[in-house]
Amino acid sequence: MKKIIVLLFVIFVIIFGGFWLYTKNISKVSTYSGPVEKVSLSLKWIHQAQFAGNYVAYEKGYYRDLGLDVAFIPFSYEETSIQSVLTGKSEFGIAGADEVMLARTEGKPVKAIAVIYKTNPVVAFALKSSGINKPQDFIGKTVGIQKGVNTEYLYYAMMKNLGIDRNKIKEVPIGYEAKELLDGTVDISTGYVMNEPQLVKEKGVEINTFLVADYGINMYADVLFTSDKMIEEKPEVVQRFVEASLHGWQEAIEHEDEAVDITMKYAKESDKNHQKYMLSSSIPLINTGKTRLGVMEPTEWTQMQELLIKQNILNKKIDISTAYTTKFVNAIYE
Amino acid sequence: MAVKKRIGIVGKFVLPILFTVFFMAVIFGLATSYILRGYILERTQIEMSSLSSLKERNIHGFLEDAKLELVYMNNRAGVRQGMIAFLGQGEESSKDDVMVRLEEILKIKKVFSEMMVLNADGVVVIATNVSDEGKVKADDEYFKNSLTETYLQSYFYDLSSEKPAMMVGTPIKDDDGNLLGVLAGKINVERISALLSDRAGYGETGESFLINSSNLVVTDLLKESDQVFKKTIFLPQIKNCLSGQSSKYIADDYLGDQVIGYHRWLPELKSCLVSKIDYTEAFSPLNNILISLLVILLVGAGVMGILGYLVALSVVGPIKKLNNSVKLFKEGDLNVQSEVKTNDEVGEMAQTFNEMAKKIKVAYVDMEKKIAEKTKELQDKLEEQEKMNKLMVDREIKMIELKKKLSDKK
Repeated sequence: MKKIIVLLFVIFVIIFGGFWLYTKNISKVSTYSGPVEKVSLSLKWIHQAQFAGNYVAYEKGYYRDLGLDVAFIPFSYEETSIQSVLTGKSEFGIAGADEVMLARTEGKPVKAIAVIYKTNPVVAFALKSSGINKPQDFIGKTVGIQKGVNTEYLYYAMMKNLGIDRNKIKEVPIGYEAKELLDGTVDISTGYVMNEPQLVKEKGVEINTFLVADYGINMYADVLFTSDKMIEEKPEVVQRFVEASLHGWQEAIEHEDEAVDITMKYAKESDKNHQKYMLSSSIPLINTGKTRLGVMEPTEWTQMQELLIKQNILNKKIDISTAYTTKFVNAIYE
Repeated sequence: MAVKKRIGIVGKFVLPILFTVFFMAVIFGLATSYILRGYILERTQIEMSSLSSLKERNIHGFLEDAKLELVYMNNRAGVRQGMIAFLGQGEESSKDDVMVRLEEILKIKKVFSEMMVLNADGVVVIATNVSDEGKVKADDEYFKNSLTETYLQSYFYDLSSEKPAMMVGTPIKDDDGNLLGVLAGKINVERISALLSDRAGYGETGESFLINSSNLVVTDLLKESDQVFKKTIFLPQIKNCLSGQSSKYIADDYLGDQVIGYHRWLPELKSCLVSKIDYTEAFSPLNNILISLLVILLVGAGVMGILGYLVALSVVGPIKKLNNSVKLFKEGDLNVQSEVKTNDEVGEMAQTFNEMAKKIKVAYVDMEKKIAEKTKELQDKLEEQEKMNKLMVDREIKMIELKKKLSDKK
């Protein structure tokens, strides 16, 4: 009798054990298990939500999981991110595609490896009450220009593309806080869509915005780049860096509030609401829905180079494919 | 008594019954489960496939309507003349006419959220949303393709309306067939979301949503709200679908829950229509069936166990009684008679015992009697012999006395 009980028990265990194994899902978790590489990322600007994806990648351990110990170096006037990568102070940098092309045209060995801001955030904006509804309405008005930054040439490029005679417009230099628009010194101001227009909106004033990107002018605003040397010597480190960075951005897009909290760890002195707005107005420029996160398009690069040549920012045409490589991003989505 | 635990007749009766029932339950349960599992899986997949097909038809119908609407407007007398006059001859006065008519149509039909006329250079020259006027769409997918035919550009993020959008465009040509520009409409994508969020037939966890060729979720998710145009899904089955394959599948979904579903590739939208339901929900009827089966079998087992116990008792009771009688008899009570009167083997046995006991008793009593008789006989004989002895001894004594008297007389 005992034997029968034992036998039945064994049959039971086999049947249910087998069933449990059958229904159980075996999930694979791929983590990197090699030596940890110390790398630095030079930012295009001071700590702010513009780099939220990178902060998220660090704080959520995406870099660490892929064997990277990343240090962030904020912008300084002494050394741009391009210079920082060229001198070897940092392995990676964030810069505008224009900066990368300019450096490349000067023969400096840097290459874009992924795009973050696909749509350029440079914008002209006017008070809604002014009745200025399109760039053509700028004629006869005063436009405030931020001198010496890419806002300036992108604005010029837009006006040129639209065939608007700038001689009929009064252009004056302005600062970065949109004060001139509020106090009536200028009718139209320029800046970055996620920054200056927000400062105006925070005052409860309604505005009309004109993104240069809506008027046929585009320039990848932020690209991740590295040196040719790095790509040649440590392509797998570059690969892991791109992968973890884009993962961080994806996470920041899916969970904006959390990404803002993480950003505040870096942008300690900044206003949280401002960072929140910056991120939410940046995401549509990063996540366009037309291509996957980080994907660069050769046609865009060709057009961007042409634009810079037209604007006399580049003095000669180079083989544009030397300024960027899509292989790292492509490898992620294969 | 032996030390080993005895399994009585009751146990011998009930245990096999319980084991049989239990064994049957397992076999029956497994067989039912196996058969039903296949059946449910097939049914669920068919269900998901047909729901998916229904959604596809709805979406396709809506998009076809949008295209037809646009083409119809493009050819509508008032609009057409106005556009030709404005684009071809640069008559500014026609602009307002066209605008009024486009706005009218927007109000009546909710297919489009915005209408615009673009010139051949891709510049928006008339827009129902004034802030879009003057924008350059020369590089936009829909503009480039609409120069030759009616074309639909699938989901993208529209910066001017700050939400996902789709565009459909159609070429504007004059009477001689010269291209003048493009008439375009921004499709009200909320209509598509509404078609998909109608969850009749989906149960608790079923859903259909669209994912575009950048692996981006473009319509509402049931389990994660607020992820439209944020979440990306790179699961193998999604990749497979985005490569142009429609298929049924069982796999983990975006939250890691096991699901049964159908993926349909929609070439028109370059998107994947995902229709799926949680595995646990699909199989919940099976669990119910198995649970009721278990309950029925348990009740059955209980009833059979009790019955078996009663049957065993009806057999064992008389046996115990009979056994008591036998024990009494063993201890010497020859008058013992078993009262078991059941009409079965045990009753028969009791009858036999009673007869046997009677016979033994009779035989015993008879023997006693015979022994007494024989004893008495022997006693009598002994007494007789004694008498004879006495007689003989007396005679002897008399003879001796006589002889003595004789010798004395001599």
